[in-house]
Amino acid sequence: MTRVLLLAAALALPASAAAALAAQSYPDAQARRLYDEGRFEACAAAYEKLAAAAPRDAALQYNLGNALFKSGRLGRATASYERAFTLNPRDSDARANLAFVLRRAGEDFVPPGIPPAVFWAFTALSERELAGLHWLSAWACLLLLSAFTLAGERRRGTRAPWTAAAAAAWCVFGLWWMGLRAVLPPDRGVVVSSRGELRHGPGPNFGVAFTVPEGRRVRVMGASGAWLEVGVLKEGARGWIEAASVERL
Amino acid sequence: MRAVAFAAVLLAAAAPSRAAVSITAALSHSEVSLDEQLVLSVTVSGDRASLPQPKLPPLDGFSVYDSGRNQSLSFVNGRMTSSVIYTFVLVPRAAGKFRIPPIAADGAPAPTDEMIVEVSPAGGAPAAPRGTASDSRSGRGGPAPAAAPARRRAREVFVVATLDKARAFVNEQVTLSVRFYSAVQLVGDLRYDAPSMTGFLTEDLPPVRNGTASVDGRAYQYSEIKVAVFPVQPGRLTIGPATVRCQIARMAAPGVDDFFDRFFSMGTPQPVAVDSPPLTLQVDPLPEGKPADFSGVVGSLSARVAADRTEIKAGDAVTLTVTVAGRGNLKTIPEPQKPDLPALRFFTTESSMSLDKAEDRVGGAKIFRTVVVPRVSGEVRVPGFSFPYYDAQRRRYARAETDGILLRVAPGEGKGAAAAPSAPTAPELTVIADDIRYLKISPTHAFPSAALAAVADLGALHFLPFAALAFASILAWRRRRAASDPSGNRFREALSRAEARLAQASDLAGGDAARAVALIDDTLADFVADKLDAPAAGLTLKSALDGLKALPQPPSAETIERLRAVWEEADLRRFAPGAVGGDARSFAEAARAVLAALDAEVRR
Repeated sequence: MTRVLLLAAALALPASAAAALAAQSYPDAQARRLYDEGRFEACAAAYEKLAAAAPRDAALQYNLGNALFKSGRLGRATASYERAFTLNPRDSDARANLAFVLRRAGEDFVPPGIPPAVFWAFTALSERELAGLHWLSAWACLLLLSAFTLAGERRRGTRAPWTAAAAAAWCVFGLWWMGLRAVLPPDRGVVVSSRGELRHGPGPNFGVAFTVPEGRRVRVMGASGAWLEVGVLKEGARGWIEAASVERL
Repeated sequence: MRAVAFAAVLLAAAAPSRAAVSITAALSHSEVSLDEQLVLSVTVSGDRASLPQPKLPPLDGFSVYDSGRNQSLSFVNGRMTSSVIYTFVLVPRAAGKFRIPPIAADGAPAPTDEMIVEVSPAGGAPAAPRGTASDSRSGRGGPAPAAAPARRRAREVFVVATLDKARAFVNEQVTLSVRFYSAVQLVGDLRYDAPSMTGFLTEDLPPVRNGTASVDGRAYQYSEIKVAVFPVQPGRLTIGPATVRCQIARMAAPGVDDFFDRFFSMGTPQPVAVDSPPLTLQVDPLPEGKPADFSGVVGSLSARVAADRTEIKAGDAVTLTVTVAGRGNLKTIPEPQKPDLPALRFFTTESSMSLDKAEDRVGGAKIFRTVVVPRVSGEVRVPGFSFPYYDAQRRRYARAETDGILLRVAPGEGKGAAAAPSAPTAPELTVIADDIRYLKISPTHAFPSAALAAVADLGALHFLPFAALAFASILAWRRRRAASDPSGNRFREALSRAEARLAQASDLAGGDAARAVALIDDTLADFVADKLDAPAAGLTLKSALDGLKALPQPPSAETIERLRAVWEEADLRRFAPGAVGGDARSFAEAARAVLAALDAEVRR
């Protein structure tokens, strides 16, 4: 038992150091002042600089989304809220604003037919958090299994439950991680042009198959030159769109 | 006198009498696209002046605008007939086939027949009938060629109909003038039959103008009626002949000298009917780029808005008056769109209309009144209202826009308390606006998100636990194998154990050479004993060599001899120190080389 706790502590050490580094000062006072004054374009530019310097800061991505939405750029705002949600999925503000802009784009944040509570629970952990839990449980499972393998008959009885629990956690988090990647694939993008045209092929020589409203989420499935092959997540339709019309997440 | 009679015929109303009433209805066309409109003309006729109004049933698929009515009266031989044409503009709201149900009127024995209208999507095929519009605009604005007087009865009476322009846009006003000339004395009543104007909305332009004019050197008196017509469909449209029926007093025939003959013959009236030839008008469709809320008004508009007060309390009502004024067929202007503002509640809009026909141009003002109740306190801005129209002079779409109105709203007085509901009800939230949430003013907590992310980012280090498991598995396998085959394990591990002891002997060689040599001597015996799976105690050189030779794969003779030499030297160094030169460390190395060769050659 003591060894297991020591193992967990050792694994959490580098993570704690990373967390301490992230808890730095929050230099967005000027951008916030611009937002309060209604100068949303300038505010968005300020937050873009801040977000570029700290791309893993969920709050900056959220604030950037607010500034972009207020300046009328629905698609780019959606992309920023998506990033904020991906980085910190338990932030109710990020969820609310993402759901708000997705409604504007004609998409539901909670997929139809899924109870909101279930969806909340399923997405309560980010993909990176699930990846971390998956690897933590994998480390624990494998090290306990190594110890179990080397242990004598006497000690195997006490180590078996811990090893089984770690293996179960590894399976659960692994499946959860894969499921989340299926529902919210990492190669997502957001349509940022006001009227995205999806064509039958990569170029203007191919006819327009359909149009996609700004702010819709798409999955990037391929690329050819300056064109991307995307699938619209809601309708499942597929086509080619200019790469400049899609902001990849 | 003739003019007075003519006007009286047109405008006077007669006493009702017993007679049948009939009702008919006609559509300007039966196929229309979504961005067009059509005209429903309902004619109620009978032999009395006061005719019933048609009962227009609900028309699914259309927005209906009342475009006015035209009444005509005629007296023939003392019998009056009257007809009223009610004109409605139908604006389709959706594509598909729609039914115009039968339209009835009080007193009419039968309603009209049912009609079907097919509405195609916007931009679809134009409705039939359609004329071919010319691309040339050279004729626009100029008057249509004056029609030649028709059936001029020796130029005594004739009718001329003219249009003030030969080409117009859909819904643009064109003025039709019908002038009746007379150079003789008329007897009795006049009857004026207005021209048929299918495809037009009409608006009378009173009064009847009277005057004198000289035509071909002959003096005439004339009466003129003007009508504003608004074409509702593109193409070449035809205005039918305008007919005037009158009676001319005949003078006595030449050569009649008798006074009585002349007296009786001059009073004999002779009925005459004169009409104008049909007119055509080239109607062009409105250009592309119509605003989405365009209602079809062609002309010029201005708009203004006023509130009866601007400083109120929440929950109090404000009356907004939106006035749209200008030239054009204002009847088709729909009520302004109410902005979707959660802070304001808009109530039903009422509209009224005042027509202005100055200078024979139809216009006026349409006034919309709506009641607005602010729901929240503070400064609430009512956005401006906008009315699109097509400016035919400048040939572009334009908008008449009002300014916004700023309401200063004080907190309300909680009128709900005065209502005193019978059962207590919990107050509810009133959603005022749906918007995004405010900025984050502090960073979100990164732990354990960042901690877990750091673990996820370890990359290749995730190989370590797999390697540890593999190592542990190999170690455990070796342990199990050693436990299950002790002699085999002894045979396989003989060299590694011997090397470890020889290394120990090398370390001892510098300080305690005797112990080092003894250790080497024992190592040689132990190694061979391990290989032969025999006890080391009592193992002699001879028995060792015999045992090795007896193995299934014995070592070579050379190796046997090397082992013998090393073994004997070890015994000599151990039991007769000083008999052999050289240090113990190099001897240990030599022994290790012999044992390695032996280990490589022997197999169980």
